[in-house]
Amino acid sequence: MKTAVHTPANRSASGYERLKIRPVWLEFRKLFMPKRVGLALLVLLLVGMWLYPFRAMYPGAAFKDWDTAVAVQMEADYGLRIDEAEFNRFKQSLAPKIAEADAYIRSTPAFARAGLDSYERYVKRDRMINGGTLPLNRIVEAGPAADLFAELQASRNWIEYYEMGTANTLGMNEAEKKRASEVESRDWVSVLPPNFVGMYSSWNLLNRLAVTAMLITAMLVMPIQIGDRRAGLGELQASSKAGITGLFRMKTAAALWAGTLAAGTLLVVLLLAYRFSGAWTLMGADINGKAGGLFWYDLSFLQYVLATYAAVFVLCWMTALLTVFFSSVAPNYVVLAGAVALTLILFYESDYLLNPLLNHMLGVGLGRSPLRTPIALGILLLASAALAYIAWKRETKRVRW
Amino acid sequence: MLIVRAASRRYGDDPALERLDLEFQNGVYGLLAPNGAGKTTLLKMLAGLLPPSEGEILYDGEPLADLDEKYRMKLGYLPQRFGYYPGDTPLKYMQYLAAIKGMNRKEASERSELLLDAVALGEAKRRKMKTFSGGMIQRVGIAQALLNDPRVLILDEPTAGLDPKERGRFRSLLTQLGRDRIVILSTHVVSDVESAANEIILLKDGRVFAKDKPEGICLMLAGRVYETKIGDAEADAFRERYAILAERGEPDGWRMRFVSEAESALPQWQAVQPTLEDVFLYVYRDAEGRAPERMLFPREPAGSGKRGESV
Repeated sequence: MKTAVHTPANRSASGYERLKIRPVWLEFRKLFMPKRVGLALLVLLLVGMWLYPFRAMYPGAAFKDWDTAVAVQMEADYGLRIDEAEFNRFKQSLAPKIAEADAYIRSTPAFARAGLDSYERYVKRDRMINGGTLPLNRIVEAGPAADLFAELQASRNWIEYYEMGTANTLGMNEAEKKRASEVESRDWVSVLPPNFVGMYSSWNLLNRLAVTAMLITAMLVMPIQIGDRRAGLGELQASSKAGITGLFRMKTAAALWAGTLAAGTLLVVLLLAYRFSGAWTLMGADINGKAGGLFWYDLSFLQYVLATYAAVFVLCWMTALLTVFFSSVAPNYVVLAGAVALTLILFYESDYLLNPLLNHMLGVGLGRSPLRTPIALGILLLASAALAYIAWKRETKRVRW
Repeated sequence: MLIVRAASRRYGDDPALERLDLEFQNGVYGLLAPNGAGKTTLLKMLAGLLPPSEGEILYDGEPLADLDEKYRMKLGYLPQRFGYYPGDTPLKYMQYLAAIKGMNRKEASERSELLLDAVALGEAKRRKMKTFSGGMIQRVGIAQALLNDPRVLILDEPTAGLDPKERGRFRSLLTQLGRDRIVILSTHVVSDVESAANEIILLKDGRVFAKDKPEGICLMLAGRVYETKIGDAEADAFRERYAILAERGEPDGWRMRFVSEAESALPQWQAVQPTLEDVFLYVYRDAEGRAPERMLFPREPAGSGKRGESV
């Protein structure tokens, strides 16, 4: 130990003034230990089933999302809004493909044995409860005309969707009926296929994204208090300029950053998935359907994604605050992991929490006010903040570290 | 100036410290007491980590609770047990602590490197701390306490784990630091403070037993410390009668260093100058008059042919 340490008696306080961000950054960086990041990536892969709706991304025609593919082609031909004239042109454009399907049916003995000689009769028979077309469907799916028949089916879905008429307003209140009639009175229909919004806004994407982001947030944030406490840093931190309160604020800010990062990363992945699924051109299409899929606002699909994805950010912040609380009060990692896991399971498994919050957000006809989800999320966030506040009060009363 | 005014601290119903009155000005203060006497509690109170149950602690006339971070900005603290992430390097560890002490990146970096050099860890600054010895870890602890160039430096058992050479250098460092700031260190190793401390504080039963310069503390036993040689046959009786400070086995008996309350000494007793360690051992002897057990080697059984040595 050298004894000639330069220790000036007086110093400028300027070095202490520029604070705030760097300590928060250092706390944030501590959350990204290599092992933990590896585990988070593993979770991301394991829970990565949320990419399943992007069937177009998977190889093999059997997985191709023909509904979306047809809509993408329609957007290229007619634009994002389909009026009646364009709809008729679309119907007419199917004639050559139907003729091709007719030719395939006539040349296939199994269809002849079933007494079918045209695509139209095949479709009618297929709709009958005991039509006996199952063996024929298998032959089609295994044969060279599989793509043709799938495309025709998707086109017919779209035509039915267009021709379905009015939305079912049974049970709707006056405001909902008014909104339904507003959408109905349009002289155009959005090009989006019937299940496109539902694929995102119900069980498939948004919920899985939310759960994945919450899980990753919890995993990253879990050691934020208990880690330093177990490492024995508590007294040094409490006696630093930041003190217990400052440290708690920094750690909470770092936890919120981690939640923002988890939600933000998954948002980028989601948008990239849309970008490379071939459906990007549909992002500007209106989300309101003529016969269902009614929403309170006229939003493009991209606007809807961004507006509703805000819920994932809020849920991640809520998870971050809850995890800060658990990390502060849990005596050890086992209790902490158990508490976090139980909370997440409660959210994911219970039909009373995550699903009503996220499914068909801003949707009309479900008896929900458009403000219901934001208010519910706000209450959850406030409750989590209150728990974090309790954790802070406990930390300030700590006499042993 | 740091003032402790009628400060007490209780843990539940158990009193740890009772009505302490202390004043600290620039200089080195050695807090001497055996384990469990309340040293760490007092240091935590001085560091603002534990509020007194009663009384108050003032820095430059203002209560620590009111000063809050203004006081912590001027504080350097080395806890008795401090932690670290084993995978961290001392440089990274210091930079983190510098950041929460409010230092900017450049200053943190410069100061960390300077202090790690000062505690002879310059070459190990990028090594993971899990590879460090206890002494190296303790030196990192000392360095971090100096990061913000504190006006009040509180060190709880700072020399634990240091080898004799490092202890000597540490004492020199303390002397330098104490010239323009308050340095308070607790220890139960008397030699740590004997030469470096301007004042010694002895804590006993949760109260201040004495606070004085080392010479003044030694005067407590002036004229009462003796050395003499005792044969094996009388040794046990002698131990029962006098407060033994140290004893050393010799071929024909025992050399005893002891305190006598008697007004007149026996001719064979040799009066000696009391040392700080004598006072420590005397003040903290147990009810039977024995000095703290850890200060004495255990006595060998009679007839073993080998005798214990004094400290």
